[in-house]
Amino acid sequence: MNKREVKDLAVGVGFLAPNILGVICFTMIPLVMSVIMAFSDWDLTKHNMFLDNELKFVGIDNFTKLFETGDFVRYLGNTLFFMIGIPLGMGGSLLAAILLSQEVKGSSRQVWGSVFASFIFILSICLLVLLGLGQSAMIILIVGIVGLIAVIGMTTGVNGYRTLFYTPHFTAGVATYILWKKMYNKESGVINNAIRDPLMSFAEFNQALSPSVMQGAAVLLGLVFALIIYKVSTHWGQMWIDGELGTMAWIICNAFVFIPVITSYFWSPLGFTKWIIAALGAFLLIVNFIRYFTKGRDFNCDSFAGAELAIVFALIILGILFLLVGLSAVTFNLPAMTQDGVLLPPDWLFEYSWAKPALMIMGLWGAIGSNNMLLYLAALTNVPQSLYEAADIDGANAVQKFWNVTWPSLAPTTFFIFVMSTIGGLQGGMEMAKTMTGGGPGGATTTLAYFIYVEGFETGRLGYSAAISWTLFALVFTVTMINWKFGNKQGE
Amino acid sequence: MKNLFITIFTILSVASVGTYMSLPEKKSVVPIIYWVTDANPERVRQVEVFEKWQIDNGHLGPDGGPAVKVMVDTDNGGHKKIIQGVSGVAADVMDIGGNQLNYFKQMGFLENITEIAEEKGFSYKTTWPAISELLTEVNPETGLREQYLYPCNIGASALWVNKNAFTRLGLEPPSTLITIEEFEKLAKEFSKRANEGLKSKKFFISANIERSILARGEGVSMFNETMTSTNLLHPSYIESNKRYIRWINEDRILPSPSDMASFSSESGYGGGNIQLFMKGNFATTYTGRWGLIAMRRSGALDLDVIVPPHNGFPNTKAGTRAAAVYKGSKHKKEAYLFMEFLASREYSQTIIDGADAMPPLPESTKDDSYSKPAKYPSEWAVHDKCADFLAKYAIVSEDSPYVLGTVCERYEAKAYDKALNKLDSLENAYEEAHSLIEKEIQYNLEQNKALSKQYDEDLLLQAKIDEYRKAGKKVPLSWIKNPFYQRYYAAMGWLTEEGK
Repeated sequence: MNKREVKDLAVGVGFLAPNILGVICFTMIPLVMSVIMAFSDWDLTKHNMFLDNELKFVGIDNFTKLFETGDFVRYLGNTLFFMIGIPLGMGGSLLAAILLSQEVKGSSRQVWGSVFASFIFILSICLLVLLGLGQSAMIILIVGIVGLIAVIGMTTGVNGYRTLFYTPHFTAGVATYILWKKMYNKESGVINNAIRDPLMSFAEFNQALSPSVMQGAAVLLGLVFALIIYKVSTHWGQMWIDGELGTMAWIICNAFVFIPVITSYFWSPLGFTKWIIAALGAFLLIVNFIRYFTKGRDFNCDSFAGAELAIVFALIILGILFLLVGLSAVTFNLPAMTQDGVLLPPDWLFEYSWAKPALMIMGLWGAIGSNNMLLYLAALTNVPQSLYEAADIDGANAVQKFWNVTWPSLAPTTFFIFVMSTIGGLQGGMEMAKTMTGGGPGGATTTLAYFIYVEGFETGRLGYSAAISWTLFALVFTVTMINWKFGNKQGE
Repeated sequence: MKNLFITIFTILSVASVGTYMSLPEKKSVVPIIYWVTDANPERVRQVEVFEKWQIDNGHLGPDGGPAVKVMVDTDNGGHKKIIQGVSGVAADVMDIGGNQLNYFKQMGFLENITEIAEEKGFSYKTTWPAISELLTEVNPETGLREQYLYPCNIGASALWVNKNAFTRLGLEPPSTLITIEEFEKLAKEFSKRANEGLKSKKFFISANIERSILARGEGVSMFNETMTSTNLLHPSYIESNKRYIRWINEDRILPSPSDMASFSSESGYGGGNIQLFMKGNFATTYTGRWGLIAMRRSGALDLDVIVPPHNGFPNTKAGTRAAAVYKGSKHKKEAYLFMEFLASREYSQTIIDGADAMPPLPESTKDDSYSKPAKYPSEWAVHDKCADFLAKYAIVSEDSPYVLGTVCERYEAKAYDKALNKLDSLENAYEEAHSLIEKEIQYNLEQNKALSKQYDEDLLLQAKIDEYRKAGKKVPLSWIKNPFYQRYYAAMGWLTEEGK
């Protein structure tokens, strides 16, 4: 190494030193210490600079203890529940990105016409609110805001919409959570105020119907559920035969959609419709699987070929199936819920069965207007126009173009977003739980991240807390490995 | 590139030196101590009085001003104190309160102030006997009581009554020693009359009452006499909590968490409960004398204060926000001076004037400035009662040496929450909580042999107590470790002569 190179090296190291030191002091050392903690009885009431108790290594005791009380499994379940929203959020981001990639600016006459109409409309609403129109004004106000957004779009073009959609990402987490807490308020929240009257009207309407009508509707939803399972399993089976989907990938996809089938069997609110959902769903899935398997493949491919896109698709279907199960349960129970002619809006954050969905809906709102949307926007601009032109020549309609051109072209981005969202989902929920629900009611919204925090600081048992953290890390690491295996392949 | 690097390095170095030089310690000619406390507006005045007190008592700095300056810092539920405390960089003086006292004592970073407290006059013996146990700990080796804390203020939580809320509905306000049955009857009537014609309930008898006090009022505490096991499965304990859940879910005389959130009132010191009490949504509020800080801002109310409802054993909880000197402090001498100030008449007077709970010195409550503050005649009925409750009815929390209070509270609260949300019966939920706490106890005993020995001795004592009680025989006070049962047994006449 000559003098010049040594000098360059010194300058380079000088530049890097602050960062390297920071990483060593604030990341590497704590990381190593947390490994030691996880396998020891490290406890703040026994081990700190003022106490000279010997640190004992306890092997995997802290890890086995995770499964003794059932808390860990329960809170992992909560964390996974919140993650059901990820595919839906991704779908929302994609939809938003597609919409935001269209040019929407209106003509001058349209713009000024809309501005004037909206101004008059909003002014009227303000007057109505001031005159005490109350709850109904809230619905009109929301419609007014939607009108205002339309005006912004027409005057500023797509950039205005892009800014509006990205707003959730600018907003500080805690401020957002407090705002949503107010919106979810049972008595005075904007959501319940908006749905209270429609629910009451619906309850009266529903009371006039025979209970069998609603139960019939629940059965219909169950049939839709089974139909979706049949369609997707047929789609994957055909892909497997054509050599577009590997055997393992095919099995994984089918396993994913099997989750809501199994869950619905054990979910009592579904009543007898669970037999349609669980039995028919399982039957169609298994029969389709066996049918294609016994047919044999026309073309062979790698075991995991096509896994990345198919898994993301399977997860989106999983989200939709869970939604259908939920809707079916609500429909089935509506006659009982409205027997007094009253249907009250939910107590979003303080009712055990609603707290989790409430937080998930809030998460969806944040996820749609997040970096995912920007990533999709960027990815959409990279789709070669020649593909769309070729599709146009072939006479493809908008849906066919999306399905055969846009969706496959976005596969690497979709997979990347999915993996990053999963990692974020596993690690998240701490601020949300602390600010909005304190982990309740009855532990319904306690996530693993919040559990780590509570264990670490309320009991001082850092060893146990570190064991939870490392178990969480193992889950995140597994997801990262999946990304590494399939994400790289996509990149290639 | 080199020049850029040097420029950035120079800017950062100058900024670092500038930041260091701007630290309060660098500007001050006298030592500065940091006091971590709650975000109470009264703290500013208390610091001013401390500085004046130093000047009056000859504790002067080189500039003729006070010898020590205090910087107030706030905390987020104790976590900052824990992280800084175990890391060696905590504030010189820290306030600790509630269920964290035992936890902090166990972490070993509070200075043992037994000797200096005796010498400088801030011994625990100078303050209210009801809270002695919270300020001290018995050394298992010597058997002597060692002091770690001195109170900044003391609380005997009680039900504060807005008499107008009752009289405007044609109801008699509750009496000082109301029974649970009377309270329930009154609360139902209040709820019925106050909410008449309303779509949803807006008026409740109170925001909450501490459940453990209601259970104690039935003669049962969360732990047994020797604190070796929980009483969660005791029929009276279960009944008491079941009733509380019924009050919320069925009788609707207490608000549910959802009702509380619907009020959307969280502003101001003391939180939303006191604001809603002042507005009349709650006819009573469960708080300490410190609640007056917020009440005084909202105007005069016709106030009374009563002991929480009971079923034979009226009681309330004694608590303290107590100050401790950090073991790793570089300014211990100055911190002791601050503790000395906390035991002064001047400090107690600031607590009295500011209504920041009860003052550390009991004798200061004998004064008219305490019982009849000239500016607040509407409060004259309550101050003497507060002092009386602290002396007669207040008992500290039962903190078992075998398991952390924070852990027990979490398991108990989780079980209660399950039952409140109708996810499980209270019996099942408490059974699970009981078994989890027992597991925690066993875990702690495995880790600590000395504790295990003490536990075995206490188990034998418990067996003897149970046997004596079954036979209707009296037991010596020294057998009982639970502060609640010490008082309860005395009140029931179950102690031997030695015990009385």
